[in-house]
Amino acid sequence: MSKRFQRVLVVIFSLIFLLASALLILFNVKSNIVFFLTPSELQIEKHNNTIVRVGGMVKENSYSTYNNIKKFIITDNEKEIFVNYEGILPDLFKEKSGVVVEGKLINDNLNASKVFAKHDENYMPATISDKLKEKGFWNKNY
Amino acid sequence: MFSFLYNPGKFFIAAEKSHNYIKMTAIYLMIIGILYALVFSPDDYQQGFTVKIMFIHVPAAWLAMFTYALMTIYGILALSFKITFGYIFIKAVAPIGLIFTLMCLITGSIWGKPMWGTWWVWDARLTSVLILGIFYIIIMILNRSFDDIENGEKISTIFVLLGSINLPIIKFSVDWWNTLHQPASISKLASPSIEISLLLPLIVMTIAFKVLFLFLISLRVRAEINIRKQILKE
Amino acid sequence: MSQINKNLFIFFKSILSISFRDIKIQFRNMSYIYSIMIFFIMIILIFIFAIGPDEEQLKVYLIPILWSILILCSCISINNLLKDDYLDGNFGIYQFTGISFELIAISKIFTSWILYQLPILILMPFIAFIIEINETKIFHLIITIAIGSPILTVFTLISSAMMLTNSKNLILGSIIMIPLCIPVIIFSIGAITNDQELFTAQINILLSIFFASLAIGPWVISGCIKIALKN
Repeated sequence: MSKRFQRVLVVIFSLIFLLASALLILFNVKSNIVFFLTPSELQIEKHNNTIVRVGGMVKENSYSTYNNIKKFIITDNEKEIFVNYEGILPDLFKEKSGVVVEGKLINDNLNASKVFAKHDENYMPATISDKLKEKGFWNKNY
Repeated sequence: MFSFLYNPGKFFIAAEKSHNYIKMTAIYLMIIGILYALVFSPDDYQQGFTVKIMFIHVPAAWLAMFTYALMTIYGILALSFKITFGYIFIKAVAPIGLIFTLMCLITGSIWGKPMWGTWWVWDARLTSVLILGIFYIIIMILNRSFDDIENGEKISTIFVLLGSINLPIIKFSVDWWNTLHQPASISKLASPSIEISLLLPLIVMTIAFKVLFLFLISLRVRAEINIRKQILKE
Repeated sequence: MSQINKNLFIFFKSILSISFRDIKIQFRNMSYIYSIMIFFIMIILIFIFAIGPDEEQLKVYLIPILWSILILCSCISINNLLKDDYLDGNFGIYQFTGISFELIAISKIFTSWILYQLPILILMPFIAFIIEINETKIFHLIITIAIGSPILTVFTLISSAMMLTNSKNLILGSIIMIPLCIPVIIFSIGAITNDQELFTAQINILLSIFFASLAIGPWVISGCIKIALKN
């Protein structure tokens, strides 16, 4: 058994192992480090009374404040979650924009302890976006 | 022609010759870039004035990763072709990478407080960049804590190669997992999703940072070569 | 063909014989293995006293704590794994007898897993039954530890091979190892849930880390040993 034979054998084993690990990653479709769940991924029976993070769009005309408690609805166009929050909202928080909420789920109400605004990857000067809105070319997919 | 990229002596001469040019370009480009970014570029439609932080955050983040990629390339060269310049390069450049990583993390959290509403979250992108910073610190410690300097260099080079697996994780973390951090705006194959008046100052700042990086590299690598010359003399 | 078969036989036999030698040496004096197990139990006790008698909280926190202690236990053995062989000159002898360092590395991975991780894996069900979490979670915990502890072994061996020639900064080995362990602990804690689908997804990633570390580990370990031996 020469040293070269040993090396070749170890190389072959390593390649097989690397292939196996690559295959395992490739065939693993479900994403697993989730910073947040979407409202339709959230199962109310399972996550009831636990602390979850939910991400989605703030539904249009759903935001209201009453006695310092902010109420709004998060949606992903399939399901909706009602959120109550007491505290300061980040600057980027707007209706029809992305948001991630952390808090305790009680039935389909989320008592939020933290609200993060999710910023998209689009950057645009304010003047141009105003013009786009005037002319009616504005679409939210920007 | 490109031998100054791996030959310490030739690198030293080339760096000495180009010292003044690189320094002046770095200074001018920085002034132009900062003026352009802070004064002459418009505010963002969502973020307002806070978008200015991006002009430092993004180049710093790119450089933090670029530095590690360069260290990996030099590490492979050093270990497989026995090019000693690779060890010198890694030892000299690791602190620069650490500084850029810290810059990226700090500006990012300053941006995150008003925009996201938090200084720090443990999402995949932020965590992997923090690990990158830790790797830089470990490389620096490894380079300095062995009795035999040569051994320390080799071990830290092996660690550089081990840690390079973090780079694709940082790059694709925003695509693989749903993170709070927004996905990349520019390096997509499609046209960039930044309006041209915001993209131009970003490009100027990126080039300015790259030139500054070159300047820092030439300074630190020359210092490292000088130290080694001193050791050899003794 | 028969030549290759014979060589393969010798290959595995030499791995096993090196491992048996190391195991025998450790078994003559079991105190080190006992100490690691006792250390493991003591830290769990410390955490239990620190958290307090609230059982609900214990159930929440004890699984992450068990995993963290597993990493700590691997850390404390870093400076003992390869140093004896290095100082005795055993590596030089292996080299003269025609055994490559990759083979030594593989046998070392095998040995240290059996010596330092297997006892903890055996302890684990008892500890889990004491804290009374439900059966699926215990099952998932044991599976993640069974897959995760070889990864930890490879990482400890990598850092201990890196620390062979370093005698003044002993904590550096743990500092190298812990950042490498971060993905392992993220995916294993993520796998310990009641959700079967999430469990398989996380276990797949953990398995792929396992295979990748087994593929890369022997090369890195043997490279570091070679670097240490050259001086």
